[in-house]
Amino acid sequence: MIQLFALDRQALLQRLKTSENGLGPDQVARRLKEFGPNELATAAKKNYLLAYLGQYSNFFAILLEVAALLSFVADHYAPDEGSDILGYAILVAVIVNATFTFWQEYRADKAMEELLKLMPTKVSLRRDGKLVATTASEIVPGDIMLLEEGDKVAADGILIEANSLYLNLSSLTGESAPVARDLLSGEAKRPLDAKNMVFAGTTVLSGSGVVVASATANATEFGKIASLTKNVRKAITPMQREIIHITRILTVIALLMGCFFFALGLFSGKGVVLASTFAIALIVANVPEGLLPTIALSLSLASQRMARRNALIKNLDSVETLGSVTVICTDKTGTLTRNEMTVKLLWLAGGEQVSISGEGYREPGEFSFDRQNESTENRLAVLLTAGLLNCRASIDEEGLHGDPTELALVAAARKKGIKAPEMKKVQEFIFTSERKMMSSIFQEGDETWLFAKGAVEALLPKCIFNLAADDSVQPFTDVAREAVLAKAKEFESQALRVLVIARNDKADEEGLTLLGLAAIMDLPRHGVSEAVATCKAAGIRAMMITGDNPRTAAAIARQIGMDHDRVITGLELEDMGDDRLEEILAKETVLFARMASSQKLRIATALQNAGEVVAMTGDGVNDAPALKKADIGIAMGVSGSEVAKEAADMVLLDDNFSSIVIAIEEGRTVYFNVKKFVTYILSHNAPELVPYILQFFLKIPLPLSVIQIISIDLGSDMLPGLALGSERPEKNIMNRPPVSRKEKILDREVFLRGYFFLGIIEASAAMTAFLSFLLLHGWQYGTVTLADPLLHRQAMTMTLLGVVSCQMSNGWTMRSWEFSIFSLRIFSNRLMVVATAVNLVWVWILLNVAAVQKVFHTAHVPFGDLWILLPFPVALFLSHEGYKWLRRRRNSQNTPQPDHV
Amino acid sequence: MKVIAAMNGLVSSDVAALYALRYAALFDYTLCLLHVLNPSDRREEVELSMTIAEEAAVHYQVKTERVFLTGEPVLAIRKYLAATRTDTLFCSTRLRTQKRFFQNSLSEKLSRLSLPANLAVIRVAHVNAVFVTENILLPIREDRLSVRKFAFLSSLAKAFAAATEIYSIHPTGRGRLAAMDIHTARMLFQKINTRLSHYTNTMKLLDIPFTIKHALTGREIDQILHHVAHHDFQLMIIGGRRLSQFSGFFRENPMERLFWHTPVNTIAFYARDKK
Repeated sequence: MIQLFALDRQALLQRLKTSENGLGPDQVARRLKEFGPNELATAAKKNYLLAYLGQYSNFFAILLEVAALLSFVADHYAPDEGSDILGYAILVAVIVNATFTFWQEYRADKAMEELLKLMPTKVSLRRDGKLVATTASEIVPGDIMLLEEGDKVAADGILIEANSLYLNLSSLTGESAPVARDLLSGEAKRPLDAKNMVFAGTTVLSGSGVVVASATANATEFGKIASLTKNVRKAITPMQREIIHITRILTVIALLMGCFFFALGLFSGKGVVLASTFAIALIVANVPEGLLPTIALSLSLASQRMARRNALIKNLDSVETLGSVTVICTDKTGTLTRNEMTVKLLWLAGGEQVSISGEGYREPGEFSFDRQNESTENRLAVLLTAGLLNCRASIDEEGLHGDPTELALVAAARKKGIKAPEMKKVQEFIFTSERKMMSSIFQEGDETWLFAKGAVEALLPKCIFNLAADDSVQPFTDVAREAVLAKAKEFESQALRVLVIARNDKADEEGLTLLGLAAIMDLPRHGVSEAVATCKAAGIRAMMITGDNPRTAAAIARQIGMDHDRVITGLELEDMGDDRLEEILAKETVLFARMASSQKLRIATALQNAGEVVAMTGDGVNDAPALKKADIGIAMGVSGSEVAKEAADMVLLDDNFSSIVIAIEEGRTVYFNVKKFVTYILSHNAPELVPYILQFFLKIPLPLSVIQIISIDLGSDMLPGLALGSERPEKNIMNRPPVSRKEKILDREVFLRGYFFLGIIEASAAMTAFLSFLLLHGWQYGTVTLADPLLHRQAMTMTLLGVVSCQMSNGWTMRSWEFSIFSLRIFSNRLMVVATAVNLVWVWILLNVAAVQKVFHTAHVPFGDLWILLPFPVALFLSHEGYKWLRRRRNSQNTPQPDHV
Repeated sequence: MKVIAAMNGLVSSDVAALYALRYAALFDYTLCLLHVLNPSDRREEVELSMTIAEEAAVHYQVKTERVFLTGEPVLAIRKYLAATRTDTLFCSTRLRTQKRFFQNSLSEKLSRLSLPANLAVIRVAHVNAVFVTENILLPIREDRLSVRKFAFLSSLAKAFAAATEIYSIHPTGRGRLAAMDIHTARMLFQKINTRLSHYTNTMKLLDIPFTIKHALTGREIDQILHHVAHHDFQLMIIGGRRLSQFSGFFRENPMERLFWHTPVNTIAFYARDKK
């Protein structure tokens, strides 16, 4: 059986059960049912109910649920002890925690769905003999599609009529040169090779055609590539692994302590109720309830800050991966450079070199000559006019239209005030990657002119004359040819793209007259040099991967300070083994030139095998697998294809390299913010545990109730914790090495700083406040049950306030991991100011509102007794600032001086 | 022995008939072009489809016959199958509602019955693929491959002179996946290869190019779709029973998702009832 594209017109129409007049309405309806709409199916929809329920099944939630259950069991045996209120309070804590975390994730998902909504494209079809304009999603196999210049092809199809049809297949092949389409398939065995096929996702550059749709939606070649990117789930991220690690450690500690004290309580004859109360208290005290919502908020705020700075994060988990990035593989055009070509130099065939000032397409510019004679201006005008006529680009009030290289020629002519003469364009020979040149034929009265432009190697051999310094046409000698080649080489070594411009007085591409050379430059973006320097300081290697030639790439790299140890071209890479590539990439910074998109995947894999965390940029469909493979795939928001955007973890809204560096800074900030937060919450664990341990072993009243522990964990500590999660980047964040994948958030320092250093200070504060208050009011050691319940509640309130006041102080000093709080602006973290204000109000409520006092076992404490609390927050603040000072001092002593490196 | 192609005049049923034709040609069976008369299908369209299939059958020297049944389609087909010796019934499935390809379709109803013939439910994604089937994929879970499913795969591979690949998927959680080292994975794959070695040998005897590939994944359907998109397959065969709507009731509907997202023609194979 013969493939569809190899069939003749009639057989094809018969096979697809259609006709030249197209399908009828009932046939369309039936086929829509048969094949489905012409839409790329998105990844499986998330079940939000299950996702929400999943929040109740993580370690912390289960632990708290068990604690709540134990409370209700205790209430069953001793109904008047208030254990039921505790049970409900714990359940509320679980619900608040789960809902908040879920809400953050849901919002992030929804924001991304909005971004990825594809706009419906209008298409022209012939149905029932009539021309119909409809949306692309309604195309079915067998439909007759009409293609015009500028149209986006919406389905795969086979041409039945073609008129000089050229397509841009870059979305499938990565090659942006026009590809001619024909009515014959050639000797193709596969649809992609068939010359009479058009493909969804490609665009019509010129000409027109009539096509029978043969495949729609996921069955198109574009759909296949697109689905590549949707269906792969990445492995667990370092942050997720860390959360699991922290959760497990704290869960084990909580359970061990809970079980130990439960058993000890039973053996020491305290009874089941009291023993279980101890166990519950120790479990609740050890569980950092605010951890998950804070991480979710921290990631969410970072992604919002990034979005404001043109880096849109699609997956919140990617934020923290950014902090670990060690290598950035970046495209050149549009990312490091502006993709805004400017003609910087012209060389006239008479020998003069002309410099042009003014950047971009609209800025005015001056022309300066190295030497000049009376005909120079005229020859310059001829050169610019030839360039202007032989292009399709235009610059008008509405904007820029056309290819950047052609726009540069139009802009150069505008700078000189040259307008296109009234000549009739009769034919155009389009630019293709094989020809590397284009030409246009114009008619002016009886005269025919051909203007051509193209690459030096393609066009120079076709020139046999040149426009000499005396404005006459002279034979093009070998000496002159050598001079032109030398000049072209000189321009190329300065990162300039060189075009030869020539003309002929007849409609023939052979026997041309050389007019001159145009040297065009894609200027580096503003701020890129600084961003590259920041990368260096941050220990990140930036590598350029470009399709351009090595000379141009190296020259741009030099301009922006992107150092490299060697240049590898696409051909060299093909011949290189994987082991050798990994060996080179492990040690050296490489500039990759003349690369195809498909080679990016290999580079990303090799870098990952060498132990690097890779951020990779891309814009075409062919980049999608590499974007998925990289640890952070970065798509271009302006020039990127939808598939690349969907494959990426991050979308750059301005296509700018500097935005990647900003995103990395935010990624590192999230990591350290979570570290600060974990230390902060570990600090309150000690003052929550110590009262119970002391009460167990000493003859003192209960210093802190379980409900008060919950009021700290989910009340007074929640907002400062969230405020720490939203802290801005520290000033040396980009002078530190990347966060190693092996580095743990809950490391030795965090554990010791939180649990033992700050925790012990807070525990001392809590117990001193409790015991001092009791002693001042006549309590004697050994009295476990106080005769005056109010005094006991007031003493417990003092314990609670001791912890809360220390944590308020801790929140402020924890804002920086190693710098003094005085080096930060107070209002740079407004949430912390709000948190402090809210906490002060909360303290007032605990002291004065009867209903709240009843729930949280607090009581009014005379103002005169509150002075006991004062020294401890100050002591904690000064101790921590002192610790940070010592840390800075030690670091500065350990940091090697530059001349020792 | 017969091979039945259920036809309704739609393009996808024409393609399904072509698969049936190639299968019938391999075993020299009679191709039975069957249609159950009903108001939603047009008889002239069905007959045109049958004519096209008959013309193709001449090329492959396959005997054909037309059968028109009446009554409730599922019952009529069941009755007809009981009365004839049929190897396999090929029928296409199409989008039924805005979101459903398979659920509540005639194919699904047939798949639930105990039939005296194999059932091949075909989701046609690409009309052209039937003319150029060079690579066939059979995804399985670990080493679970029945002899009859393998026989169907090898028959179609022989009929199309296509290469085959078994894609063995080992379901693994994300945590385990992150922790698994290369050695453990290699050992696991080696074990599966050993268990499937008799199929490898059979393929060698049949002179059918054959490979086994492996994947560790938490999401089977996504992994299959990714693999299909990443390689050049023109046909995928899946085992129908395990992917019925009930196997993943709480998480997803595997058959529906596969049929909806597949970029290549896909056959869900249900082996005949042993009784």
